[in-house]
Amino acid sequence: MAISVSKDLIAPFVDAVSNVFNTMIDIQIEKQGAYLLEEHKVQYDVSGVMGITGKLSGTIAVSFPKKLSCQVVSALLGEKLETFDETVVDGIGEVVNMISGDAKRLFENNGMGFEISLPAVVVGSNHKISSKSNVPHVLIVFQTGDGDEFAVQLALQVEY
Amino acid sequence: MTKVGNYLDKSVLKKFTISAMLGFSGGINGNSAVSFTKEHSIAVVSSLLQEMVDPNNEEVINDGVGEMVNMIVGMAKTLMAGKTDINIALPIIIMGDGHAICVREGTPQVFLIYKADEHLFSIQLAFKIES
Amino acid sequence: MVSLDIMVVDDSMVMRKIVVKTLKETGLEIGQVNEAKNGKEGLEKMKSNPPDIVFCDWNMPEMNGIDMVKAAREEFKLKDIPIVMVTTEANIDKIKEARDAGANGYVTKPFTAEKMKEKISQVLKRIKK
Repeated sequence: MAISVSKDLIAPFVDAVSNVFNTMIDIQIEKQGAYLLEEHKVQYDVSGVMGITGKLSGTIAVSFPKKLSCQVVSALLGEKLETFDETVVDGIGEVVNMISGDAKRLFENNGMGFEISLPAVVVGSNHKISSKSNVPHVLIVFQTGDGDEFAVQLALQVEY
Repeated sequence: MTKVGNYLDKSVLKKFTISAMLGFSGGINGNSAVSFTKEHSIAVVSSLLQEMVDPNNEEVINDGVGEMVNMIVGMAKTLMAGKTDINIALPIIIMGDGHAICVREGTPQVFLIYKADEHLFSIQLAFKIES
Repeated sequence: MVSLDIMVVDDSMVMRKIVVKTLKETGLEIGQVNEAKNGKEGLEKMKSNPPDIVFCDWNMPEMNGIDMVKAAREEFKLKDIPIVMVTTEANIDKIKEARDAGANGYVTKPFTAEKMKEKISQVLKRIKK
C-alpha cells in the first residue's frame, strides 16, 4: 500500500538538518535518500528525539551510529571526544533541539506553526524506532564525507 | 502492582526491550515513557485489546504500547486541567535490548520501576516548566 | 585591539561550550570567558567580574534569562553591560519581551561565527553611542 507523504512536510526538516550542520557542525553531509520505514529498516545506536505538537504533530528522531555521534558532538563543541559519555548524549540532544527549532522556524514562515516538547536521547546499540502504524513514517538518510550514514526519522500528521 | 525502585538501575534497563515515549508541550514541556520486557509487552497489549496478541505482530504490539503511554499522559493532562494545559505529540516506539532514554543533564526527571506479577516495567517522566 | 571578556549563561553545559567555540571562531580577541548555569549565578558572577558582553539563554532553572536581564538593569554596576539572548526561536512576542526587559539583542540557533561577530559589533557599537 503506497502512502503518500507531502514533500512540503518533509523538506523543511531536511533543510533544517542542512542548516544545523552547515552552521554548527563542521562535517560535510549529503542527503542520500528518502524512504518509508517499511521499505528501509534501519538500526542505530544513538537517537535524539523530539515531540512536535500543534497543527502539525508527531515526532522527529535524528539517529546515529555510536562512532559518528561522538564525531558530531566533537565538531559541535570544538573538542575531541573519544569516549561515548554524557557529553555526547547531551550534545545529540542539542542537535535534535536545534534541528527541531530550525524546522519550526521554516514552518512558521509558511504559516504552519508547531511547538516542540523536550529533547530526549535514546541510547542503546542497534535500536529501532517507529511510531503509530496509521501514521506514515519517513526515513531520510544522510551520508558524511567519510561514508558514514545517519538518519532523520519523521512521523507526522496534520490536523485539519 | 508495587513500586520497587526509583533510581536508574542499569541491570533493570537491560531487561526492557520496548519503550513508548510521548512528548508534550504547553505550560509544561516534557516527555514520558513506559518501558516493558518483551513478554510483558505482549501480556499488557493482550490485556488492553482483550485478545491474545501474536508475539510476532510488531505493529499491534507497538500500537498497544504507544496507546499505554498515550493513556498515561492523557490522564496526567486531565489531572492538570485548570492548573495548566499541555498538548500531546505522537508516541515514538523504541525497540532494542538494553536501551535507555536520557534527558539533558539538569532536567528534572522521575524514573519509577513497578512490579506487576513477576514482570518489571518502568515509567519515566522528564519536564521543564515554561516560564 | 582590546580583548573582550565574555560571560555565557546557560543551564546546558553543551550549549555553553557551543557558544564559547563559536566566539573563538569569530576571530575576535577573546579575553576571559566566564560561565554560569542559571540567571542567579550569572548575576553573581557579573557583579564580581563584570564582563564586556553577556550571552544568555532563555529558559533556565532558579532564575531564567529574562528575569536575569531585568535584575541586571536594576543594579547600578550591571545596568550598562550588554546582554544578548541566545534562543531557539525568535517570534515577535519573544523579541519584544527581551527588548522590554532590557536585552541588547538576540541570536537564534543555529548560528554561525559570522552571525555572532556581526551581533557583537552591532551591540557594542550601539553601546558606544
